[in-house]
Amino acid sequence: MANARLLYDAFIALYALSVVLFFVDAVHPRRALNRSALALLFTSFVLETVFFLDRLQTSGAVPVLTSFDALSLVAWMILAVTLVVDAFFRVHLVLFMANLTGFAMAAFAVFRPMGAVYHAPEGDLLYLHIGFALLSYTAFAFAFVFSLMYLIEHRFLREKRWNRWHFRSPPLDVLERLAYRSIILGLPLLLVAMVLGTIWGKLTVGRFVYLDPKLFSTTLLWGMYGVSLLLRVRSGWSGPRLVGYNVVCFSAVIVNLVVVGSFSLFHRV
Amino acid sequence: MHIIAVGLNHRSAPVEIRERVSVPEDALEAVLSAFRNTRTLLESVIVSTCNRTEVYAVVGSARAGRDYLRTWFARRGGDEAARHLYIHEDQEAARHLMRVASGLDSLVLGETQILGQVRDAYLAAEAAGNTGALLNQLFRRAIRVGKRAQAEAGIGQNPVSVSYAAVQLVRKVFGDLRGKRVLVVGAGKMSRLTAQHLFAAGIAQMQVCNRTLARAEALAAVFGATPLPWTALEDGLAQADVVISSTGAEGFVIGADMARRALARRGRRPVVVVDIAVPRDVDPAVGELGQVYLYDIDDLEGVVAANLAERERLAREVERMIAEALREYGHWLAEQEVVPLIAAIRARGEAIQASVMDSIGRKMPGLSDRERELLQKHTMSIVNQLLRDPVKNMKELAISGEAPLDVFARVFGVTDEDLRRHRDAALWPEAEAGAGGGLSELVRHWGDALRRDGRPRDADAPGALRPALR
Repeated sequence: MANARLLYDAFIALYALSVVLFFVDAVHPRRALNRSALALLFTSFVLETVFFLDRLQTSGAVPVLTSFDALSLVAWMILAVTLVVDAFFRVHLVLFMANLTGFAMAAFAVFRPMGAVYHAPEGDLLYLHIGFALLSYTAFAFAFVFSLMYLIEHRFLREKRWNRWHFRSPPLDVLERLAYRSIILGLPLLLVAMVLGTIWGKLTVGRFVYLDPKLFSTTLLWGMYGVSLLLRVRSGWSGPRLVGYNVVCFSAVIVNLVVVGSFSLFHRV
Repeated sequence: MHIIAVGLNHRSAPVEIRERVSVPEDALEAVLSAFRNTRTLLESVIVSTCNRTEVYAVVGSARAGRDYLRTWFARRGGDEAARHLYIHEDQEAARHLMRVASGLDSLVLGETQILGQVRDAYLAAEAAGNTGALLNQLFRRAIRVGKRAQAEAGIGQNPVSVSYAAVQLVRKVFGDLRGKRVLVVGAGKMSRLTAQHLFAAGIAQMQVCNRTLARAEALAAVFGATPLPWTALEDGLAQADVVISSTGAEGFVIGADMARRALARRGRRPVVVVDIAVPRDVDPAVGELGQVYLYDIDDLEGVVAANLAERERLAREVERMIAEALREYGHWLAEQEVVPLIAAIRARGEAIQASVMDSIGRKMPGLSDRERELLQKHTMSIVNQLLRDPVKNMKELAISGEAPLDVFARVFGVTDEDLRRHRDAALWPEAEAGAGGGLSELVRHWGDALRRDGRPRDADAPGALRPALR
């Protein structure tokens, strides 16, 4: 346990250092700085992977059942996606912004109980339910990152500020399209997670549970993203308002994941 | 030997001098031929563009080379031209060429055209037989640095002209311009220039709206666009993703009300309005409307200034690339200095071995072919093993600059004449038939010696290395 804590703390420290270096590189671009930040990012990814493998081995259960696990797994997926994408394309600010979000989630996870181990009945179905939910949250996290970048770039373009961000940020069109595609990906994943969760509830409790607050909030969340998608499909472009709405939707994801879970019958661990 | 760069450019000489000394394409061959036939210049390349005329040369004596080229420039451009010359030697000459190829010495910092011009100049000199090992390496490295400056640092990516800055802003909103619609309001020179850049960037549909329809039709014909009558301006506005306005009108031609009505018809899709006219064509209030990105001439100049500042920042990065390339070139040069010495030492070893074999042949005439082969192989092996470590260490010490090469030459009894002969073979491939120059020459030489170890030439598989070379 102490080793696991040490591993996670080292991961957080390196992740933080990497994000700081990416920030400095964004303000004063330096190739050496960028390379160092990337090396640290990769090291922190390796550390987190080792942490999960260690946890898997010591607890004997797949570490996805607690909110600590959920948050740190989403951070791990963000890390994995950005590292793979950056190996093929130069994504500059996207790498920084996505990992800033990932770091925030990983750091927030520190405040959740880490040692909890929960052995659930009908475990396979539950793992699938959580796996799909976390994948959808990761997709929404990327939608959030692209939306936030869109809003910043939009503001700079309107205010006519030609700074480093202007030179390094992708065009608005690209950011808007990536945010839209992330939501397209996240929405069905969340739906599958909801269906699997409902079936798991029926198998475990013996009846469908309708009155769980998590079920309400997740359905509401799905509806919120659905509205965003619908408006985007109808107009062919998400303006700043709709993109801003995507940012609000992601806040709802965090609330759903961290706050509502505490009131749920099944998501309390 | 020395590398020198002598020339003048837009900073050192006015255009009337530059035009006199410039070497037009049709005269290049004759000038190169004259350089080739002089004993002063061992290698030469002429870079002549509208902004510069420079001669890069390898010379035996720096002073003689300087005097020769100063006279050459004076003959072309008069005594006044000689006063505007700059002269760089050795490392500074190499650095200057790399800065030129990277666009750091250009009128517009980071411009890309010069790289092609340097490459063409080098290829012409190479084809004419004016280059040898030193300038071949230098120019190839300079061109490589120039390419890195563009591809890795991206120094030429941010535009520094107002019309192209407009395209940059449009791209910041739409990214890929294929399939986007442009409305050009006014048929003046700036509209034409910006439309030209947008077309080059991939714009597919264009409408031209002008008070005089005939002028709109004339401009539309150039780009295969659709002319619009002045009364249809609002319709054009409703359809366009990009609006370029540059009329000579006194007041606003696109007011807030007209823009509001047009935008209501186009949904949530954004529109970039670039107002290049002075006085302005577009009411600034249009920029307050949602989804409108409005830029006037001052904004575009702001973009150009920011781009220039960015290029200056990137230039520092390119300077680092140049320093790195210079270091590598320095190492290569050091290697070239040590190559003749190694070759001479090697030749001495081989000569001793051959003499020993002759002596054995005379004293033991009854040796069979097989025995002779064995003796040949083993005596050669002694030479190889004796020289392996000294040669390796000489190379390392030469590159690190820790020890003067003449000490090694004296230790091994290599004379200046030996060195000169081997240096010529290494640096001037034409001087000795079949010589490859540089390290490849040394390897070839060594390989030949090893082949003489007594085994038939084709005993090994093609390309297989003998143990000593692995």
